[in-house]
Amino acid sequence: MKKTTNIHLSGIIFNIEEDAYEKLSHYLKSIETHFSNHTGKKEILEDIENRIAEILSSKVSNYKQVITLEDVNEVIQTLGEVDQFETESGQSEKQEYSTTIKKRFYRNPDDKIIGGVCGGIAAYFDIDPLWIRLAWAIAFFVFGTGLFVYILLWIIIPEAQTPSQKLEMRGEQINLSNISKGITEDLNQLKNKASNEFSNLSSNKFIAFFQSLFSEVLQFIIKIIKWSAKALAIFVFFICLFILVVLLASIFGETSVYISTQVFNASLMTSQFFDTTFQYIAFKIAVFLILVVPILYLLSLLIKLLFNIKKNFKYISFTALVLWISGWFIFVPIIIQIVDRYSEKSYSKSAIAKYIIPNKTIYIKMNETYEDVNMDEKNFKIKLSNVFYYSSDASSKNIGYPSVILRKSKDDSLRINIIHSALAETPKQAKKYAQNIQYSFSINDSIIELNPFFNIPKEDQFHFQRVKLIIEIPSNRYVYLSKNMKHFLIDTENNLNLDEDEIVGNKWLMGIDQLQCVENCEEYKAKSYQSKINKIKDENDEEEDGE
Amino acid sequence: MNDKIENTQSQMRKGILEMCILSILEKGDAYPTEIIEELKDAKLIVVEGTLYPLLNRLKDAGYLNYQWKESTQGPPRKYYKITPEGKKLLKELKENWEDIVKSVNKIIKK
Repeated sequence: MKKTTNIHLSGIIFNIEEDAYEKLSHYLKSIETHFSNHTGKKEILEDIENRIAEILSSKVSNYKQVITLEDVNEVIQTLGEVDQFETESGQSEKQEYSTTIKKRFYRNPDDKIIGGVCGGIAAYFDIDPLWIRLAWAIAFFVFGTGLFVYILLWIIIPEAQTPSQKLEMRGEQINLSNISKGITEDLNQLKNKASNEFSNLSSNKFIAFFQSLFSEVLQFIIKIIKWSAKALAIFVFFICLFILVVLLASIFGETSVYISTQVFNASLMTSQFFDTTFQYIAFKIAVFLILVVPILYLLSLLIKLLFNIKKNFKYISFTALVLWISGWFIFVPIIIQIVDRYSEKSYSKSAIAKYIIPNKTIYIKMNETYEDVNMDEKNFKIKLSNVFYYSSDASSKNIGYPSVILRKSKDDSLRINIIHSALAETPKQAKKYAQNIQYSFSINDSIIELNPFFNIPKEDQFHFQRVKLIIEIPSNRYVYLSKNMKHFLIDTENNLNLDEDEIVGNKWLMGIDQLQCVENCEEYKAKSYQSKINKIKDENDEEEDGE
Repeated sequence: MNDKIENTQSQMRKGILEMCILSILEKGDAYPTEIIEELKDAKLIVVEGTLYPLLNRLKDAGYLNYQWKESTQGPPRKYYKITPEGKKLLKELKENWEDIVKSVNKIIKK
């Protein structure tokens, strides 16, 4: 005894044994999938079902009313399996309707100028190689990015040597419509399966139905995840490319980046710390190995993933690791040397004392016509500590701005202490650098005129040179601080507790230990009050931020 | 190389099959099973499934049309009929075929 199911094909009802039904249903599904991209899919399927109905109806009679597995096997034999259709009706049909030709990235040996990379890319994306070469030529000049990426691709992409590899290299066109075709195919399959499963419901296969539906949905979700992972990989790829360009620009480029009025030039900045070109180049190589090599490695991994390249990465990984570690072997000694270079501090002090007639106000101001320096901001290339690297058409050197401190004098004379300081490998060297600093100011009657910059001889390079002026003012003397003293004053106390930048442009009296307000005091008090409120506000804000 | 031979063979077979279908229908209207029978006799095809996409394409291209006819046994059948365009195509195909056979024979039998 066998259980039977009722089916109808082309309007004829058949009694069919369960195993026969399973087989027939599977067969029809395979045909449906095979013709899924065919324009006349529906009609062909109808024709085939029609033919099956015809054959099956010749199999039943009054004595034999049920379709058996044997009958179904005979049907399949007569009509043929799906793969037999293909071989009999020509392969071009397979190419038209299937998407299974896997495309691979290969270097093109038939269309090459250097390594065939551009030719391979052109073949992969089916575009004229001229455009790729043009793009590469441009990329080559973007701090050599094109060169490094080219070498990378040359290494990781195999050359298409056999005819079948050349076929794979061209493969099927990769474009958006193909990708969407792939997705709709998956969707269609899912839909078909789902609807087929629905028709199965009559034979109480609830659990089986949900299980298979669940697995189909799961597979579809996995496919979606795979596609989004690819999209993510492309995104990361472009980020890496951008980082690569920025790194190469800062290592090899000589261009400056303007951040508001501050000029930033990484290459010039780092060059200030080295006394030999050899050391500087070694440093650059070390930075290249430590930062650029991992980016290049990451890029090659992404390319391998995205373009399905079959290449053993064992040697590439090993080489990358060796290069990276050797980068550190260069980098660490250089850094130790640099730190050592600035380990000792030394001073060079001098002082000038002058008697000033009582009741005369002392004026302190910056010399505004400092002729040595062309004040154009574009000439200030970098700022290190309080030293600028200055370069105009005529000359280039390091200049710095001094700090000014106002204090009470111990006696009746005005005294100016000038302290030069520098950092170097030995105290002796540091002293030399400190002494080499050139700074000048003038005292004319009771007017002190300061230079806004000090000069560092070109050969001295950057050694954290500083100039500190401690101006000691006798008590009970009036001091007028010119407005252009702003930014130069430090460590100067006053009775209103104002910041140094806020006390400029006013007259003060040197009291017992600090400056006392004499003019416009109400205004300055208000200023002081306001600044205190602001300070409290800021603190509160910070606390809130902390929370 | 094997792939290439197979590909050429199947391409040739496809063209020939289309010509044969047209010439079978030129002799008189027929439904798929009859066409299959003749092709099977001539050992041009082994399985019937091959025929349906070919018929479909020829019909879509306007070389064939069909009408439904009741059958004494089983479901109604599609009777295919060749159209004037189909006849024109067949004539051309036949001429081409004869040319090819002549030229190929010349080379093969030398």
